[in-house]
Amino acid sequence: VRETVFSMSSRTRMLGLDVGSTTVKAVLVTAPGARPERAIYRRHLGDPIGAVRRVVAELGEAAVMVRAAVTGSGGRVIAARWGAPHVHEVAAITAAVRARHPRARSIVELGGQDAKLVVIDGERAHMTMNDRCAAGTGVTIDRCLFRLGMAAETARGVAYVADRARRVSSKCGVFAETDLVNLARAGVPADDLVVSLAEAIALQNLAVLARGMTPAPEVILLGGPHVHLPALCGAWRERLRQLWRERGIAPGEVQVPDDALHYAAMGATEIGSARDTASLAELAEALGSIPHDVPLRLDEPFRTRETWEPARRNEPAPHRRRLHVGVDAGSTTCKVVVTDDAGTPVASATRMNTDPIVDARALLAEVEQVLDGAELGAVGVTGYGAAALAPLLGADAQVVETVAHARAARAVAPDADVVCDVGGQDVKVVALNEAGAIRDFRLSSQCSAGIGMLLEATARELGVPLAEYAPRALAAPRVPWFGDACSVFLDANRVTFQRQGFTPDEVLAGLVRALPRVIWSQVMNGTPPSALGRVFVLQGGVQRNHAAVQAQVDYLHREVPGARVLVHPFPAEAGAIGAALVAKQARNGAGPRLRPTLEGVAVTVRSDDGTRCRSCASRCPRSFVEVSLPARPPALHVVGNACSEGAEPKGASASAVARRKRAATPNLLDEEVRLFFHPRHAGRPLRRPPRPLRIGIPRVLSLYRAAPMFRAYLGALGVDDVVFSPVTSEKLWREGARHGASDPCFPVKAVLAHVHHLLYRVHDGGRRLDAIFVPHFTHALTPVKHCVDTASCPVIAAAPSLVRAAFAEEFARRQIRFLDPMVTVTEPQLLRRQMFEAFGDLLGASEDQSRQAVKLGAAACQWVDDRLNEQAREILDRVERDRRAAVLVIGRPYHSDPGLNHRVGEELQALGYPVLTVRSMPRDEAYLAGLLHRELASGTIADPFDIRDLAPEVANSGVAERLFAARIAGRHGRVGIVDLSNFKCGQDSPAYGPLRDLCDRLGIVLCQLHDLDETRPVTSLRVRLRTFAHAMAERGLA
Amino acid sequence: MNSRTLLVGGLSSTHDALVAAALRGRGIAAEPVGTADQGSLAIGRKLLARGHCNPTYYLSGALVERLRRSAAPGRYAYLTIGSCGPCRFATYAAEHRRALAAAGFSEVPVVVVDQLRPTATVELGSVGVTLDGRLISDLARAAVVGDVLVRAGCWHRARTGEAVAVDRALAKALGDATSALEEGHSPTPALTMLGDTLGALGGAPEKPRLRLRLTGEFFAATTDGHGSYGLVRWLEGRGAAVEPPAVVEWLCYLAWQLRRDTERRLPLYRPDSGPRGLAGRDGPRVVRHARGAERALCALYGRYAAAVGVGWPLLDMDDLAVLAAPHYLPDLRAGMGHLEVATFLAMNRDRRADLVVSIKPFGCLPSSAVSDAVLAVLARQARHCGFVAVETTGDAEATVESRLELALDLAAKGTRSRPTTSLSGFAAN
Repeated sequence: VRETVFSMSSRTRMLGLDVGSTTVKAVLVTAPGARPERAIYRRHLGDPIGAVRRVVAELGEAAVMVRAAVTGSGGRVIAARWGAPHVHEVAAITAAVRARHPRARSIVELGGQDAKLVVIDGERAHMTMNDRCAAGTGVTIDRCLFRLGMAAETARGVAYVADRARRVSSKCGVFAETDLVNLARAGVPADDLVVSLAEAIALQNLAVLARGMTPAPEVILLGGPHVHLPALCGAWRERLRQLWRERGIAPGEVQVPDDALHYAAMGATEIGSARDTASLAELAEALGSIPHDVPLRLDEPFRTRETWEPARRNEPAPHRRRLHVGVDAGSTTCKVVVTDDAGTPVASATRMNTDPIVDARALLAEVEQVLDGAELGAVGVTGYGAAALAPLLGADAQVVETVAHARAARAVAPDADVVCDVGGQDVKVVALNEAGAIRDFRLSSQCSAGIGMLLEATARELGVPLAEYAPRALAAPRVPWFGDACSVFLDANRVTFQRQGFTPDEVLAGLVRALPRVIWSQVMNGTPPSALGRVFVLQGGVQRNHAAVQAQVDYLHREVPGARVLVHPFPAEAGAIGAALVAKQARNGAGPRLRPTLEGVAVTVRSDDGTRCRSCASRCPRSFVEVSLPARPPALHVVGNACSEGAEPKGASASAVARRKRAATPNLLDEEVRLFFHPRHAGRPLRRPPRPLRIGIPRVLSLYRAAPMFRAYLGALGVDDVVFSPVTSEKLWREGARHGASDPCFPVKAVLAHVHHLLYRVHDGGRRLDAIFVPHFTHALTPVKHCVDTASCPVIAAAPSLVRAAFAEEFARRQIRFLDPMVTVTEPQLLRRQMFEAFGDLLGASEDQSRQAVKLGAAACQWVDDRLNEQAREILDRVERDRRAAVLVIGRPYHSDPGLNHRVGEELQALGYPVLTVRSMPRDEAYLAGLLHRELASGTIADPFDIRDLAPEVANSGVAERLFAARIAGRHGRVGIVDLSNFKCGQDSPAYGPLRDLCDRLGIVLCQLHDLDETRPVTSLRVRLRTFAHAMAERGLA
Repeated sequence: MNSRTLLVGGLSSTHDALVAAALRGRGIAAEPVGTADQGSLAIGRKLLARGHCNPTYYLSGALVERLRRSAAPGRYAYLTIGSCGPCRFATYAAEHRRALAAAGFSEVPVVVVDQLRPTATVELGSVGVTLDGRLISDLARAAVVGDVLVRAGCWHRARTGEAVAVDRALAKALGDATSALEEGHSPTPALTMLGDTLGALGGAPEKPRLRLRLTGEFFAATTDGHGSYGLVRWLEGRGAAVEPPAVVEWLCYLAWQLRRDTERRLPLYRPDSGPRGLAGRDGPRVVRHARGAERALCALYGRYAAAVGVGWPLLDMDDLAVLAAPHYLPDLRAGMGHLEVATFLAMNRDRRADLVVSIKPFGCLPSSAVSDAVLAVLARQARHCGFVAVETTGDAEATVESRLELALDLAAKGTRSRPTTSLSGFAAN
């Protein structure tokens, strides 16, 4: 902030005002283009008008006469009041940069909510702004730092070091926050986290904001994040130089100018200002009575108070002869409780997360006195840090979070039907049956995470102490309607409401009103609370906020007639209490045990080039944690590894136990990858083409089904050299992620990265390609009959058009032919025609030869199908015979790609489950008729391949196959289901409802892994799969 | 007489009123379901799983709202258009049924008319309706009248500066046209009278206005409710002359699809089965009928548009296919398919618009993920027309407006030096 002292003359000045989503910036200049005499930058804390009034008063003496110009998303109403022009902020920064940096070709401006890129091309300028999912750039940085417990000053001191960046998704603020929290939990050093965040923001903006353009040098970086986070500027420099190298552009400067915060305000004065002059005092006064906009919809103000029921609070036993310890190393805090036999805490301690071992040691020391004179019954641990703590503490039970919360709820409400745990990061909803076993469970996905933290962060941004949140929200007279969106969208609404004149108290009230809608719409995904039961227990740290509780109680009472809503007496400690209770049960009355201690345990974390994983070419960064115990050799743990291959320090593979389990347990996801791309498909050529050809095919999307057909087709027509790109890896993605001009689901974006690999690694690497083949798949072959259609997803079908748009110049420069024919596999005659039209000329083949080759292609596909079906049948028969269980992973064909399924198959193998796939499920009609005899006998279905009873109007192949496979799994009886779906996969959403209904009806244990994206959701994957395994075990499906 | 009153919706309020009137004109009890608003969205979201595109929520919510206001909801059936995909449009009907069941209206049937084979809809029989050629013709006529009225409003508001008078004349014309359709008469006199009234307005002298063409996802671009954030009026309020899309262009696109898909399959050695295969179908006859339908629709629109003085001709489907082919295969089917790309190219080539605004629900698969990516590249090369895409979530309009304001500012600066824009807006479901 520059607040230059200047001598006030009588000369009229120009006032440039920039009102953003979180800050107000103002400058006074003597003439357009001059350096500001005075410049002020302030956070407006949710009151932009008030902040502008104060800033105007601070700018100079009241009598100073100015001509005003206004810019910024919140400035329009002020401009109207002042009679000043309102300039769009992008136009303003462009004007300011043109005036000051004549050599500048690109501008990147990051604000609180918006990101803008301007590429200057002579007199023309191409301008883009972020889409909504990437919104909240400055706010995202603020929140991430807050979540990491890092002061802004500390972050400012972090320098960018390229090879310390971990993989963090910056698709949106919530994803970034989730990934960073996961990395922090895993022990990744704080500096690396800042670097990772900076890298993610730069990469995401290059991938999406640039929309295929190349920001050429000189590049000007503007806005608060660039000023306050030097690591971000470092990331830009590194990634832009890499891009320029790749695209043959001479390197140039990337700079953050001195007045980077004020360029928009300065630019506004340069475009034009008010005709009339006014004194600063008059301008301030004019803001006194701006009428509020009338919003379209208001939410209900809080009227009733204290209508919820505190759950039974057991009195501590008077003679505490036996006590138990529970530890919950959660996402934001670590808690330790000491309970009696009934689960009533007699002592507890909490601290913000740093390191689970350090935290637990400090907390155990705090509660130690309580254990004096008592015998220690059991020790249980839960939470994200449980895996590290359990062996060190000698815990009697390491408990999955969902199970711990369920147990704690039942202790205070034996008739509880539903437990709703709302923490800072995650929401967990667990439905229980009469015996207290888990009947159903849902966890917030990437998109619905972080709602608890949003309440806290918003209060902080609005300058409201957390302790005052509830009283101020409950007293708010008007409550804006926030809808039920994800945290990023809710925050975007906050900005709208601020502009409409809502006070911070009203904004907080609206936000907390949205909490139950987010839980029951986003997390529960349309399952109404009334479907789960009548008795609800609210747990988790957010329940200490009475406004949050009141909002949930009002919602549940409205939605569930006769609902009883109880709040756990120790909501924040419920997980730790549950862990203690489960441990007590596990110990089963055994005698007293030794007191847990972490004294003498020394922990050191190392994260450098020597700790990188060497399992594959990606060389992912990771950290080593060395735990030294007294009188024992130090133990070395790996944290922050991207996949199970990096779980051991030497990089060999996962643990020996897990390895053995995997070897003994078939995984048909991996088998599909092997079979679809098996060299045998090349076959013997029917003929030779006029000249040898090398054709590249990206290993993506529906190629995970149709590759055998194309390999056999090309082989039959004499093309020996077909190069498939490798499976998706972090390295491949990072190298090719900057070419898209839209932001679809990750599997489609990955297509561009694969084509980039074929161009830059294969072709430029010396294996010249004559053609790249990426067909437009309009349909998929499925075993399902009677559907309206079995069309491909429209984005998958059109993906080759995205490739053409992104790489047209690269293809031309390299003289590579791009083949992207329509391929309609459901119409054999049309398919033959399409293949001949695509390849006839290129390969010099006759129509007859092409037709013959298509037949061979179909046979190759059938060969794969037969192998997979045989293996699946063996698995199904074996688990039935041995009274064991298997897991069906349902997803799209591309979910066989380990880079897209995030190695979920391996995780399931490590849990001991054989893994089946949609494609592998048996198609033998007699066998299926035996499984589906009830449906056939009742006439519900016409044949085993009929799914019309589940979804009558299915037109999409993926939805049809999912339901078909799920029903077979359900009727088999010993198969659970893991349902994979990617973020932004709109085509999967129609399957959610029918699949859930089917699973409920047939009693199938279902685990939903939705919103998958580029980063591996390590912790949420673990919690979900362990809860899934627990639910399977409770049903005798181990 | 049909056994249940049909509720119709999903277009603009003008179109919905006219379609209902056309049904009543054939003795079928019918009412518009009502324009979907923010409340409809909230209801839809609450009743359905997440992940659908937001027309599902808007329309399901509006339907449930309408039934909740009714004393006898059991007397209604919901009439909607369906397709075999491949985008999520194909699932609307199933989700409407889920929403009705969740709201306690399981007894209200959802009758789906296949947009490519309307006469094959057997469910109509269950509500006592026979969809014959004449009824289809009446419904198409209602859609064309709706287009002409909506476009007349935009055309004359921009050219006369007399928005209130234009709206008043339109309201009267809508009433007259509705009555005419109800009584089985031609709407032409109502339109001629409207043309006379609007022609007499004269109004402000012609002043240069920014010419905008609206494209995007069908529902978002057509509705005049909250699903489009009332974009037409908002843009007009900022001095733009807005050319809205026409429903009849969509109908022409459907006929063109049928013709194109059939022509592509005619030379095959043997016919394939499947929704587009020609097994059991007379291919040449399908082509003849489709071409005839296109011509008839264009002629009808031309006649009515001339009557009210609307100067925007319909886009030619064959021309659009040729324009799009190098960038987006016209044989791909989903949503608006290649139309968005082709419409932009046509506007740029013909200098018919200064800016194309594409509006779509958040995450619209064909539009946001594919067309926008292709258009981002094409818009940078275009010399005469800018492009901006916005997504609607149902909230945070201010952010969408911010992006549009930038696009308007830039487009207003003029022709050759005009900066291009490629913006994305917002949305959530």
